[in-house]
Amino acid sequence: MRGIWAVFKRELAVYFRSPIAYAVAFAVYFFIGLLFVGNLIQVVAINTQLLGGQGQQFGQQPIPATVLFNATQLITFLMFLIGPLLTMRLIAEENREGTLEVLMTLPMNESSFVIGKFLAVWGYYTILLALTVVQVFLLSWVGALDAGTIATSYLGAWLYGGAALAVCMIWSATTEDQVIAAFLGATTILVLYLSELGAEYANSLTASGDAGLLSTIFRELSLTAHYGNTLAVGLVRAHDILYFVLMIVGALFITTRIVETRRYRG
Amino acid sequence: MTDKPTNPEMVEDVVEEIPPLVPPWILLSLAAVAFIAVPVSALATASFGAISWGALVVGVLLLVLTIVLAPQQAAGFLTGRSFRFGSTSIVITVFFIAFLMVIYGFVADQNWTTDVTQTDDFSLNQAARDVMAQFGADPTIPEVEILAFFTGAQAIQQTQLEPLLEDYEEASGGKVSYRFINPDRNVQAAQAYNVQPGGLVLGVRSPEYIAAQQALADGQPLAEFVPLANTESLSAFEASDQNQITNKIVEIVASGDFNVYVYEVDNGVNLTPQSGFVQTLERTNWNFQQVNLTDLTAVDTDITLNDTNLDGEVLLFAGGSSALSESEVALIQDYLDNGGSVIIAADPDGEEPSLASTEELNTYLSETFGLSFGEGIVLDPQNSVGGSIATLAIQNIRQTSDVMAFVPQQAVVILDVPRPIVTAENRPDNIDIDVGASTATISYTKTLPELIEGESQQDDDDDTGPFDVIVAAENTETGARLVLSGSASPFEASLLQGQGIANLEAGVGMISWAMGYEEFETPANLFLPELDTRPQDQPVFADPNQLATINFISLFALPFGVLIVGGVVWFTRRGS
Repeated sequence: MRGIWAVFKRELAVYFRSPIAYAVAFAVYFFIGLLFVGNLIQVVAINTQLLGGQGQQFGQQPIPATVLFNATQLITFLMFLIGPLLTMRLIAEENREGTLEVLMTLPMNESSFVIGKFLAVWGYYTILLALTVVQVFLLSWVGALDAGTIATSYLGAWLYGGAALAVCMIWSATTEDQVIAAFLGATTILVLYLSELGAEYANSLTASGDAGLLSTIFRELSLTAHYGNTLAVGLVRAHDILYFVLMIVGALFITTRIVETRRYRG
Repeated sequence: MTDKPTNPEMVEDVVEEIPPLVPPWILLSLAAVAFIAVPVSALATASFGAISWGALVVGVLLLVLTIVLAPQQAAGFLTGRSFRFGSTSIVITVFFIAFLMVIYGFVADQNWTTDVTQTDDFSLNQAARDVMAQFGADPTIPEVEILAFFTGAQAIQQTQLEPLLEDYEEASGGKVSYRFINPDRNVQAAQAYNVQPGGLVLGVRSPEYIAAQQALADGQPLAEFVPLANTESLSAFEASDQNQITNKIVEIVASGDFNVYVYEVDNGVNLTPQSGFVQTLERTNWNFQQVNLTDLTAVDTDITLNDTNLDGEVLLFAGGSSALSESEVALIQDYLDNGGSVIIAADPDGEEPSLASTEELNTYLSETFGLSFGEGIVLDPQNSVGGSIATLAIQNIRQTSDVMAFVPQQAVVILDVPRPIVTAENRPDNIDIDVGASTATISYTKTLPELIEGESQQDDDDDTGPFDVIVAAENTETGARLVLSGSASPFEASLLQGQGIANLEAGVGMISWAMGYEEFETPANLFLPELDTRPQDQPVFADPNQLATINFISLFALPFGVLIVGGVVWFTRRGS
């Protein structure tokens, strides 16, 4: 426990001293803000027109505030970029600099090292996610949101981010090259993000339109299937939460095995 | 020659050197295969069935066998270098991942789901839950099945709909059940019900259907397809609205024949099949039919008043700016004298007397039922609404009134330019009176010409309140029922339904009481009122100042604030 805490503190401090972390945060907030403000202006214009009696002949309905909340969905979409950027140097740098062996002389084992690193990057991501709650307050000012949906949306985004970061850590542990680690991490997250499309594609290849087990596997592997259609809209399923938790556990287990192997094989 | 003493340590070493019967790696590999088979079979069969359990048991047994056959190897295995970074670690990793998949498969199969939205997007709202509970408790209501047709590509929609359908099943105590059907796999059903993917088919589980389903479950082929009875369908878009689903359920189980004969009047409420009022009631087998004098009195007419084949009927006069003819009054008299049910809703007098002011009609009603329409329009400063002193929002609807039984407590009924209803002091003994709504004590009456002239202030010679504005009377000897409403507003429900306004309930209450609906076995309030507008449904509006503030915070304060903090941190640490 002490080892985990020591690594966590050290790594979290590194993030707040790192320009990359601030650059990532700026890009994320600016992108989210841009879409949010653009959508809000458009929606207000539409609702104002409808109030004046225009547009009703096309069946247009007034748009509520719940439609505009997009911070968590956008952040999870961007995880294929955020995750690799935040994790690429996490272990790869230690491998490259040769500091891994020095760290291992400390009274802690590889799993503590890996867990400490993960908690640090997850902690930074948590802060990154938490600041987007500003959008919730801004939307509540001009409309009404569903508190339950907001809560599960944030819970799901937090777990989603943890799973993505844990998966990216595998590649950071595998290679000494940060760029390769980032690239492989981005690819993996993108594959998991688009896995649900793989299920649809598999279905389209069959005569019956249902690929059965294959499409089920694709869908169960998909990050979005366990978040976008359930947690993000207020529907909580136990196995969705378990999916992210087990993804984190499994990825950290693999990362620990890799670190051990690399350490003892030199 | 002496025997060498046995050295226990040597014996123990010898024992250690004996290899296990079966190499551990073989047993572990087989266990890994078994554990991988668990989630694969669960996914393939969409349930944690016998194969999954069998694979799980086999995997566990193989693990135990490994430990039993090679305990020291097992111990060394878990702590040795081979496990931590050797080739065995790959096997262990696969084994661990498979174990995690087993846990996931088991929990996924339980499908523990909860809806945390405030708007009950994925679960039944309270109104629908109450209706379903009534269904479950009523033994006369048949079982209903919902068939949801979703293809493999519609897994998202199926995921979101299933909790709602589960709620229907639970709330109704199993009276309403559901099944998902893949139209790509069950083409016969999709064609028989003529439903598009994503749509729902709701129907009654007839004995033939139940028998057919049982035969299919037993593996017996059917000679011909047996569908649900009395089916209704919903499109994919409609299926996402639980009010639509609930109303369809109500519609298909409603039994009985109830006719509402809407008498054609001049400038009355237009109760056409397209009106929301009519559509709401037609869900529960109430048939609305426009009639006139010829329809009711012609020799070859299809309409028979006081038809004993019907479960209930009522003759409704929803307003009317012209007085009734003698023949029409005679029709009403004859109908009521024979135990019929009549509702008359008044319109104010114009230049000519309105229908409610027909002298012969009022004379008959007063003598027979002790009720008649009074003169003028009721003005109620205490209950006026919408800036018009002649538009009343009657509160505190009589909760003890049978004719107002559907009006919720705290709700109001909007009555536009209502006329007073006069209750005769000396009425026949066989008449029971039920007052549904009254105005305040400070109310008074004015004539329409006075109001048009702008003379709305109370004068000393104006009649003062309180005035009854909705009254019902029953002839206990003949069973005839009469409802008088000072305004036709309760039948204009489609325009006036909203938060806390119960015009629809008032209109339904009058009709159902008049035709004796409470004597029918079906639960009384089988219609589902439209939900009040929820805060989350309110459209977004923002003034320029709000937009500017939101713009500043979202695009500048937050992102550039973080960037500035990062810049400061970099600047202060650039030397270190």
